[in-house]
Amino acid sequence: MPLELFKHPFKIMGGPAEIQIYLDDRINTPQPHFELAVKEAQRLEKKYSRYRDDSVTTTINNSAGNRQGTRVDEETAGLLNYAQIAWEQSDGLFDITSGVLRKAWDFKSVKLPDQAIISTLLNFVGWNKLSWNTPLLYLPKGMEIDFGGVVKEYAADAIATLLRNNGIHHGLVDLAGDISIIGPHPNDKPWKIGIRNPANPVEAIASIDAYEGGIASSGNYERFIIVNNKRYCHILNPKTGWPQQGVGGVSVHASTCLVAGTATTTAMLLGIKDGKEWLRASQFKHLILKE
Amino acid sequence: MNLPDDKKYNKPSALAALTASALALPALQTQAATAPVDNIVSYRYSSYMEDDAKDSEVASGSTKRYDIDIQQFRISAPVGKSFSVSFDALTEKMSGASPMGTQAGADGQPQLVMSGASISENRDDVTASITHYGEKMSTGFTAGQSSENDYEANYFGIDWEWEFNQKNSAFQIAYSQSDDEITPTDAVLFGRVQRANKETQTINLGLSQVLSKNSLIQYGLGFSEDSGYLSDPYKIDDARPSSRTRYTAIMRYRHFYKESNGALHFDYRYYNDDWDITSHTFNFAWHKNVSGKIQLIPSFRYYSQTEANFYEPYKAAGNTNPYYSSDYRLSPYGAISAGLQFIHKFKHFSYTAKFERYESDKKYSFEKVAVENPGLVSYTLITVGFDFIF
Repeated sequence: MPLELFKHPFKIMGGPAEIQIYLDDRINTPQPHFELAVKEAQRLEKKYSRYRDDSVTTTINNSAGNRQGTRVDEETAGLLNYAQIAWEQSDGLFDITSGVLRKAWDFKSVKLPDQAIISTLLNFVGWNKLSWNTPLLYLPKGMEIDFGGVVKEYAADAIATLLRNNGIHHGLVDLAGDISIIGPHPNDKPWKIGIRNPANPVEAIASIDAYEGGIASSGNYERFIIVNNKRYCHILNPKTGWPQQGVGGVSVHASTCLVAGTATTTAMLLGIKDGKEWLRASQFKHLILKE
Repeated sequence: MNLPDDKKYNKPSALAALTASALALPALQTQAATAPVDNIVSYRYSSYMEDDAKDSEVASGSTKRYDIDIQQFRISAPVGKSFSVSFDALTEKMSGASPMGTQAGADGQPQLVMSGASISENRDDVTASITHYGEKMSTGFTAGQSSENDYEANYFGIDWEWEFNQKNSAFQIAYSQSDDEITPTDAVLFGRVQRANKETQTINLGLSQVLSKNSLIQYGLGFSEDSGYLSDPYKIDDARPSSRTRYTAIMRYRHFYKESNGALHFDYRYYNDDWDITSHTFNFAWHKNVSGKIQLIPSFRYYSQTEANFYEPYKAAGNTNPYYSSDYRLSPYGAISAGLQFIHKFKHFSYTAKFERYESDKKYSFEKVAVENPGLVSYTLITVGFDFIF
C-alpha cells in the first residue's frame, strides 16, 4: 500500500492546531510522531508563555532594571539573535519589546486609547534600548519582551524539523494558520494552502502551492476595534504605538514559518503600498490584500 | 507611521538574513534521518458464540453448537532501516457440538444429526513473517503452522509489492502454499479415513491506485487450487471431489470525507469454484473519528452463495452420484452481519472493543432457496483487545 495520510488535531497556544503526516502504517504508527509533536509544542508554550510565572519570558521581564542582566539558555539566545536581525531588517518595525503597548490598547472596548498614555509607554519600547550580548540580556526598568510574535511560528518550524529528523518526509504542521511544511505530498505535489479572505475570514480567497518552507498570515480581521468606521488592528507600530491601516491581509511563503511571520508583521505595519514594495524588494513570495 | 519617502527598501538581503538567523536556532537543526523505532504488541480476546440449533430441526444429538474462545497475540518490530518482523500466535478453545449429517424428517424437511456435546478441542496457530521494504519494492516471507489434535497444517507464503507512478500506484503479487494432514479421532470405530492429506496453492494479484488525496481503490484477483482429501471425515456419507479450483475477484474502495471526519470503506468480493459455488460479499464500514482519540466503526456485510453441484439437503434413497455432502457451508444461503467497533487511543495504548452479530438464512439468499439447510449458523462475536506501541 502507498503511504497513508494521518491527521492529528489538537489545541496549543490558545488556538487550534493540526499535524498531517504521511507514513507507511505497515512499519509505523502515527501516534508516537503525534505525541512527539504535541510535546514539542507544549514545551515551547510553557517555556515562552508570558502568562506563566515559571517561563523564560517572565524570568526575563522580572529582571528588568537589574544591572547584572539575565543569562539566557542557548535556544532563547537564538530567538533573541533572530529578534535583533528582524528588528534591523524591518527598520525597527518588528520589535519584541512592543508588548507593553497592550497596556494602552483594549481590543475588547469601543474607544481609542489616550495618546498621552501611548506616548508614555513608547518610552519603554525599542529594541535599541536594551542590551543584548549573548548570553546576557539587560532589560531597562519598565521594559518587557514578548515572544508572542515569534514563538508560534518557531514552534511550527521546530515540530516540522523534529518530525523530519524522525523520518517523516511528507506532511505539514499547522499552528492556527502558522504553517511549516515537512515535505510535499508523496506524489511530489505541493500542499495547497488556503489564504483567508480579509472581508470574510472563513472563506479562502486564494491558495499558495508549497513544497517546503513556511507560510504565515496576518490580517486586520484577527483582533481589532472599529471607531468612526476606521479599523484598528492589534499589530502595533513600535514607533508610534498605533496600528497602520491599509492592509486587509498578508500571507508570506518563506524559507521557514518564523521568517514568513516576521515578514507579514512588517508588511502589516508598512501599509499596502510600502508593504508591497518591501515584500517584493526583500524577495518574499507573498499575497497582500487591501483593507 | 510613515517612513521618509526617499527611503528605498533595497534589501534583497532581508529574506537571506532572516533565514540564516532562523536556521541557526537549535530546534531547526536537521539531523541525519534515523530509522523509526516502532514496536507493537497486540492482544485480542474474542468470544464466538453460535446460536443453539432448534429442537425441531435436530433429529439426534446435542442442540448446543460451537462456542469458541480465541486469544491472539502479535508482536511486530522494525529491524534496521528496512526490515520489519512480526510474530503471531493464536489459540482457540472450541466446545459444543457440530452437525454430523442430515436426514429427512417426518415432514420431508431435513433434520440435523448432531454430535454429542462432548467435543472440546484446541487449535494453536503460530506465524512468523519478515518483510523487506525497499525504495520501490517490498518483499515479504511468511511461514506458519496450525495444529489441532486431529489436524495439522504447515504453510508458507511469499509476496511482493511494487510502488510506481510516484507511489500513487502499487502492484502486489503473492503466492502461498499449505500442506494439511488430517488424522480423524475414533477413525477405526466409526469407519473414518485414518489419515489423509490435502494441499492448497494460491496466487493473488492486486493493484491499488490512489484516486485523489482522499480516495483509494484496490482490485484483486485470486486463484486457488485444492487437491487431496477434501471431504469432512466427521460427516456421514460425506464424499467430495479430490480437487477444487477457486477464483476470486475483489474491489476495495476507501474514501475519506473531510467534512464528516470519517472514512467510508466499501468492499466487494466475487467468488466462484468448479464445484459450482458462486458467492457475492458486500461490506460497508464507516470509520468515524469522533475525536483525535476515539474512533467508532459501524459495519454491515451481506453475503449470498449458490450450492455445490453435489450438495443435497439430505441423502435421498436413490442417490447414486459418487459425490454427496449435506454440509451447510456448501448449501445455498445468504447472510447478513452488523458490527460496531470502538477504538480509544490513549498515550502508547490503543484499546478496542467490537461487537458483531451474524445471521444466515435462506431468505437472505440472492436466489430463491427451496429447502434450507438446518445447519446454517448464526453467531455473536465479541472482541476486546489492545495495542501497545513503544
